[in-house]
Amino acid sequence: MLRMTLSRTAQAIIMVWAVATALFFLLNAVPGGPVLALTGEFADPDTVARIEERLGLNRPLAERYLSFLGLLASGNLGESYTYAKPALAVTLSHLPATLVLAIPSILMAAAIGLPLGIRAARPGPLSGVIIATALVLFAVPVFWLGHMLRLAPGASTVFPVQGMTDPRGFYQGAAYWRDVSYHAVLPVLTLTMHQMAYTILITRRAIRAQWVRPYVRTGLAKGASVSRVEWRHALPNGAAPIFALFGNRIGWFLSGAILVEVVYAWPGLGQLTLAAIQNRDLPLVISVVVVGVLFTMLGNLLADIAQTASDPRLRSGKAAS
Amino acid sequence: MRAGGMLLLSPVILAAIVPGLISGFDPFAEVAAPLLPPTEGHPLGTDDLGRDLLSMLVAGARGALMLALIAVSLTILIGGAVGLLAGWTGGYIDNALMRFAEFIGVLPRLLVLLLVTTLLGPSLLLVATTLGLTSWPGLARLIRAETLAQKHREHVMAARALGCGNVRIMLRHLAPAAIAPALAVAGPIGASAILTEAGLSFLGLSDPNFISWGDLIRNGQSFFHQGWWLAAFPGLLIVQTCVAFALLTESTTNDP
Repeated sequence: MLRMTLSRTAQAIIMVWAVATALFFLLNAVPGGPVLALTGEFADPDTVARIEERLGLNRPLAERYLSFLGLLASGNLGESYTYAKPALAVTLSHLPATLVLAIPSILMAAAIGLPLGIRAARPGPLSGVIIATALVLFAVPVFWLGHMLRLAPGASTVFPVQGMTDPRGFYQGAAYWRDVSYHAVLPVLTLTMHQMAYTILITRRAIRAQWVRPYVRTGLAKGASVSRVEWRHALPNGAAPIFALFGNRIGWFLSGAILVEVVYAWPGLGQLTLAAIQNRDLPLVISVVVVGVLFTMLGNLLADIAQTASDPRLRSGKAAS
Repeated sequence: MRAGGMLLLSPVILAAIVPGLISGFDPFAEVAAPLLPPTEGHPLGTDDLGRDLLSMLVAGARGALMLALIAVSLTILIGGAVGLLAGWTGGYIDNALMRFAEFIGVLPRLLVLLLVTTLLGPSLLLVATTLGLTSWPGLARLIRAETLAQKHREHVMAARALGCGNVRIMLRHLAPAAIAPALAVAGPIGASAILTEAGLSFLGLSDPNFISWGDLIRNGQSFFHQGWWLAAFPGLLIVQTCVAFALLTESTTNDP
């Protein structure tokens, strides 16, 4: 356990360094630097020089990289050019808005998708219907789905179609959260349907692979009900890909949800990322991507832990690969 | 399943090869009144500039299929090479390759694409290549596992005893076992390539030299109240194409 923790931590550090370095050089190598994005095309040279001086962009690249590494080592990702605040703080301040969408979507997708996926592993016409629905949902571009939901007859009269809060109301406490959840209904629905498609397809395949195992036949032969065999025997045995899916998707929700955030004008991480890239806000881009990568790794780690907890065979330390 | 996939995909392939067969209008020309609802001459209506929507969708097929083809081929090529090499050699090389695969695997793909297209300019080829270069880790892991399972089988040992070199063993004796997993991921990878490119275009980063279905949706979104068809039909076409891709390979992976 200690060895695993250490190696995971080392891996995370290397990963963050590699991603940050790649981004640093990529962003510095291309024309149209951050100063141009800040000042616009027609700024006078004095202003440009002053901004370069203030952001430290007039120093040679190697020197800037070294001081960037120093910052990175101290857990500081520099100051955002456009916000003039620590980039990491700006990133983290946008995280709750994204989590408000991500957490309910993931939970609902699991609650609906898991039973449907297990059911779809049985033969029969109902399974065909479930699989077909899941395939179509998988193939629907998530932003188009959001757009269509928003414009479905009646939707816009019942639910707010953009923003996270009502700009006219200055709500506090419980009223604020009621307002936010009211605004979250359509984006969460969009994300849930998207994630549900993956859940159903992966779960079905995982359970289907268990159906041919002898223990399933044994269970049925000794009189256990089909659903008991499915939930108590097949699911724990076939859970690995399902855990992996959810672990993987956590990172997706932090970055891939950009599209849904754009459709619903939701002020989360995705919108922030988009603006940061367009403004060439180098520290902010790096900080957003680093946070995204860390969350993906955290998701994968959680998946591993959940898998170990659910499968006694993995607990002895000898991981079956 | 496979027949269904072929049925859904064939109009798209046809549109990509012979665009004139399905619709006779120049996709870039103003051919009718703007925002015409679906009518006889223009079965899917016209856009805000009076261009025929069906012709534009048809013109977009080539780009979409090319993108999927490049992304899938690169994925199979890299994933296959890495998986075979890691599984066959083992040891340090295996370890290094798999760590590298993990690194690529945790990169947020849409973010990488956003960065690349914003910084280097939107180009379909660039997007397709980037997708291929970032989609392979899952397949590499599958093929590595398959290679490990095959490694000590008799036919491989026999080949080795007969003096076959490493490359020959990997290509002639191990690669055939990797074909099934490679085909199984081809559909989902192709579908997700099309979906990701559509998302990118939706954010305004489409290649100006190609008509992108995602870009058509973006345009249609701003004219929804005047013409619902502008966003609806491109979306449905993406759904059709991606369902087809998924169906095509669902059949090869299905059922023990």
